[in-house]
Amino acid sequence: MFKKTTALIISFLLVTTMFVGCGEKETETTSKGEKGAPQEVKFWYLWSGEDAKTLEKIIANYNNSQDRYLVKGLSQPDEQKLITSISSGTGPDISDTFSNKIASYASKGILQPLDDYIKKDNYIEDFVPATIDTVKYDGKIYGLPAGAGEGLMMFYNKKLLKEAGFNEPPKTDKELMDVATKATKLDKDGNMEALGFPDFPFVYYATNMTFALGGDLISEDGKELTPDNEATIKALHMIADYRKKFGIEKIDKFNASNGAYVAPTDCFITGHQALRFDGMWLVGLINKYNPDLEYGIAMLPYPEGHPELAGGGEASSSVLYIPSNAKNKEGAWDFLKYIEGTEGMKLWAKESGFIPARKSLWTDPEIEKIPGFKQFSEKVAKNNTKVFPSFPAQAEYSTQLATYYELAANSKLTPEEAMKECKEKCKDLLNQK
Amino acid sequence: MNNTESKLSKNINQVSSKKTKIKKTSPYKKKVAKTNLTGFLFASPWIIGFLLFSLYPIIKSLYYSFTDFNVFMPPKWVGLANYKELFSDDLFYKSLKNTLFMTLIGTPINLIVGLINAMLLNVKVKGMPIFRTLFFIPSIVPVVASSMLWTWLFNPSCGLINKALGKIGLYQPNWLADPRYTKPALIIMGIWGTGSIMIIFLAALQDIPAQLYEAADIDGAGPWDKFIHVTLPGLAPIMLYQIILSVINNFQYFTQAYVMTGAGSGQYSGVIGGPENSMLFYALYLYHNGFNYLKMGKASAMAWILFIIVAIVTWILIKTSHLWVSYGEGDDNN
Repeated sequence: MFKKTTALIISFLLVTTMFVGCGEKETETTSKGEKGAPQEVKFWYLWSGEDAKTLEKIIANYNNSQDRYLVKGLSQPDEQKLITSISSGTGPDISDTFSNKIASYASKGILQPLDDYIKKDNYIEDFVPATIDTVKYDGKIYGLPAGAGEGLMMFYNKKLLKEAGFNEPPKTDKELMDVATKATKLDKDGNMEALGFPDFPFVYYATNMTFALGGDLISEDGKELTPDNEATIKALHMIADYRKKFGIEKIDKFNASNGAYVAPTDCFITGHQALRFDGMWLVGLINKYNPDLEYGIAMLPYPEGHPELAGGGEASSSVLYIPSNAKNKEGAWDFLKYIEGTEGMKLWAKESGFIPARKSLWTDPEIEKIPGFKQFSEKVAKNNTKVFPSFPAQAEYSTQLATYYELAANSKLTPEEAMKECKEKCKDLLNQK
Repeated sequence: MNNTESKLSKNINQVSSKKTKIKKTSPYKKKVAKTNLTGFLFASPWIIGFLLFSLYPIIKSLYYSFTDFNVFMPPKWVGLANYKELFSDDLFYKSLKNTLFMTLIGTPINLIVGLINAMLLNVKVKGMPIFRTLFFIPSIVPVVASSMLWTWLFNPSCGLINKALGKIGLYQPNWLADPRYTKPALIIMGIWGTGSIMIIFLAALQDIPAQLYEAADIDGAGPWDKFIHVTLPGLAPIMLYQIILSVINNFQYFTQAYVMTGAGSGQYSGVIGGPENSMLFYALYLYHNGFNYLKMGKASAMAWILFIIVAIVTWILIKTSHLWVSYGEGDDNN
């Protein structure tokens, strides 16, 4: 009898200790806080490094300016981990993603629509209308854009171009091929010393070049995906030809020695790349790692003979959003108002080096000093940028495109074959939810 | 004695009322039942854990495999649609092919290297414990950390491996960017971590009775004969165990590929499985379907297909094992 009781007690203890380890990390009360103490707002962002430091500065300014909410920032670059946390209800109150994922997330109910908050605070007027379009899905606004969505620009190394005999950056696709080929340098062993083409980062090339050359990845009526459009095929021919000319192996070896994207060993930052498609954030990194670099910023090239298409490219920007199951939506919206407000956005744009989404800031002298602002204003005036097709299965479309871009660029398939196969693979994606 | 009498009568009453359930209760059977109950209670934490955290999710995932489920909205029943979609998905077959490559080529290589290491470490030389420790340490280095280090070792221009190859004048492949060399690179990395396989073989080697070797010596057997006719048959049971475990593990190969395709680094790289998807293993594709495309139904279907494949392969391995494995002395056939 005594033995049985002990056995029962011990097994009961074992079972309960088992449950100690699981359960949610934070209880419901932490986000509400005690009376008088500021409520916690969790802000997880994808940025890291210098950009993260800027965000922490903004967070500190916000926390000091009021005492109702206390924002805690966390750099969480793994987007899948972020989505998983949100799905299990342990995610942040406010986070960020890219505009080419808004349709996918909104259609799955991950994002909180912001229309009611915006209407209550009459918030949206100062934003460039095109930027608000990128965060809309099914007529509702699901986030606020940080930048003006200028997309990528063409950075060029003035010294390498001059050595190849060019005083100006290329304007058309033909000029681009010419400059890239002539500016490429090989060392005495035949290994690549300077990369002429915007081959690195590879992921920034094909879609942007497609849009720059006037093509689109979806039909005008939105009913068909068109990876096999002429502009994409032309863009892929260009990079395939460049790679064939100088040797895929040499280029791969050169790219691999770059290390991670925008590490201090990045080939453009160290002056070993002549032409580069990249975002405005590269400016801040160049200033940090190699401020003596002689470089310029220009618009992406337009197709030969069509100067009216200049200033094309993919328009995308980072978007701040509130997850639909956030615990403290009021606090999240209050902070969102601040960081996307004039004061927060100005500091953010200035330090991270991007063009802000608020029109009123464009006449601010400090913003005008951001490198590339002049070219950017020209680009916006031309209004030729496009967004990546916005539909729920866009992530899979993006992956399929990347797969076939690679096959075409490495001449495993011709660009025509590759894009035809891609179109075949993706024909059901528009119907998926 | 009144107490015992009343207790006895109580017992007898209990017993007679349970007559329909228990035909005859002897004190022995009751004691057995009581011991069973105690044992069951002690095992209950594990049983509850298994039911809640293993069996229930497994059954639930079977249900999800027949639904369209993106975690944020309630699942929608779609029947066999996920399975049909998988069987017409190119990447599904590619991921299976990659995984089979790893299983069919990686498993024998790992086992052979582990066995050779174990045999070397079985030789009684000075400093034997130090050698054993040194060879075992790589297998306890955390997989993510070692994957990141190996990424640098395999760097085509400044990595140590290509530098060494260059010094002896061999071709220096673009290890992690050339689709023909990515899986060989992963296998090389796997060889470095065969410590646990080696330790088990080492223990098994020491279990082989020394008399068998002495008998073989007397019969004039050379080292190769001794290996084929004494060592291998002696190792057969353990070999079966290692083969099954290694096959199961290789079918689920994930972590190294996850780290080396940059999946968790937050960098937007477009392609999910490395150069031309040469590193897209089954588990990695499952992960992307579930957590990147938020297609939990499809991912669950993939999980169950893998379960069936591994179950069949394991069943075949065990059923054919009697052809080459014999357990100990005196056992005739099993």
